[in-house]
Amino acid sequence: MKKQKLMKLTNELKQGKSECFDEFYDLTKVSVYYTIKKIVKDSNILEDIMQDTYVKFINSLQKIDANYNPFSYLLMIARNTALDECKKNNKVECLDFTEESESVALNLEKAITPLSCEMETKFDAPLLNYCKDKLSDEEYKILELTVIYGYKRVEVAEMLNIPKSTLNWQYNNILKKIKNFYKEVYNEKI
Amino acid sequence: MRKYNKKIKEELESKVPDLKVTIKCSIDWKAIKDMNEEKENSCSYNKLNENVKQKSFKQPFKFKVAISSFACVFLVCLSIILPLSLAKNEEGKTIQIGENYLLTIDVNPSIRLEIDSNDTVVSQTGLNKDGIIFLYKENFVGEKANDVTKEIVDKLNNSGFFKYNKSMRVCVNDTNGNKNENMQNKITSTLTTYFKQANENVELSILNHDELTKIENLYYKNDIKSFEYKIAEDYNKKLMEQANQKLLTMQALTSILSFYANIIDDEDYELKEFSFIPYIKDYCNKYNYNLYFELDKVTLKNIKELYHNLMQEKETLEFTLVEIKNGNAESNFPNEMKDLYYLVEDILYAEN
Repeated sequence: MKKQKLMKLTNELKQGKSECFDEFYDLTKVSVYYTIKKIVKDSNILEDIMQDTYVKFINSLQKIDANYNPFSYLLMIARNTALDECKKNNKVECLDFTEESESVALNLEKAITPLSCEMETKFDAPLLNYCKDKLSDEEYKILELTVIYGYKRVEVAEMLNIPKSTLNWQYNNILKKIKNFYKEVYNEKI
Repeated sequence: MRKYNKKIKEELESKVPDLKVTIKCSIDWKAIKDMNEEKENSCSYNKLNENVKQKSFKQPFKFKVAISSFACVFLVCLSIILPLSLAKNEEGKTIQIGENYLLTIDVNPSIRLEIDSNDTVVSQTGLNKDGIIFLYKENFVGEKANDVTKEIVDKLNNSGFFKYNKSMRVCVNDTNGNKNENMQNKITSTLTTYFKQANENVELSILNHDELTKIENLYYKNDIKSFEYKIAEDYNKKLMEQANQKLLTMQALTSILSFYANIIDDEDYELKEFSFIPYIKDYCNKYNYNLYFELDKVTLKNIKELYHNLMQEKETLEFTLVEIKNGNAESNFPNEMKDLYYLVEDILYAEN
């Protein structure tokens, strides 16, 4: 994800420039969708939660310092909103994040640490599901952070507290595996 | 390889609903704007120094800089506007100058930054060959002027430009060519604080109009603009050369260390063999590689771990070079090659 770009767009959204929202949405929608989808299966509810997430985010923009990463905050809101919905419907036993969602939550690790309700989520995405089945937990986490959330490998290495060279090596291996998975899933080469 | 990542993202993207319009209609944008204005008015004015990057200057100057013996002067000035067909913004286009001012930094390298009324850099230009080399891989557009000044001074320091001469000239002019005392004092104050914190004894003075005009005249006389195109090709070519050279060095070093790395022994003990020490030293010096152990007391475990780390880094560098070749690199200047940029710039300064 282009962090600088997002920070710039966030600063402009703070100034009430609604024309910047389209680009902001396009840059973040996949990650937000993925975060919510891991918790909520119903598409209609998912859309409502996505809408609530962005509205909450925009309305609490003033809490975000210019130097903080707004993306982490957005994902935290997405996750908390989805979990609140789960609690409301008593669908699953969830941790109470209510207080955290009101504060500036910057810890992406918390935002993405999967709960038991998220572990079994299947997406309507054949290659992704296949990756989830075949890759180890650690490998899938690296895939999530780099491909879906768009973090650079250097950032992911820091998040996961592993050496950059180790992460690069693991990332290379994951790519080789995905290439084979693609052939198996789609029965063709790109 | 990137195509498969793209496929995963495409799978998800096709499922994401388009809620842009719905969301935008749900928000009171005027209230957002008012809240922001209220917050800005209540904040104190001087927030420019909040994000100071505290860098250590205790490391030795590792790179020899072939600078001539003439006085190396560092000056910061805001000068009158020059035609900016060469000014480079984020997209490489010329910025229309409104109420902006220009910040010129001349140490040899000479650099010009265009800054808007929010103290944000909107374009950057090298005013001489060294300036173009200096700025080639940097992008300060979008950053605050104070932060950029500090970043530039950091890089000048790390590149060894203050090693032989420690003097600085500062001048600030507005777009009409008049002195801007307020901004000049601000810049001077920032630099004084900065050098004091870094424990650098740099003398500050003011650049006069004639000296500034001389810099600008030399820019046109030496046709610096055409050098900008040449340096792009040169820089990339030398970067690849250095990267390949590093790979060869890593190959040689890991070959030497492989004997110890392949010893099957769970016990750790101090090695008495020292023939590999000079090779490790050379590698560390050239590529600024941080060893976590002392070379006068090397154990088997140290060598095994060093070997393993070097093999991983070698594989990473090879992968990065393939990505660059295929146009799939995440950045034009990957972090995996950061130790090579100073080397390349060193060579280019010497050649030009």
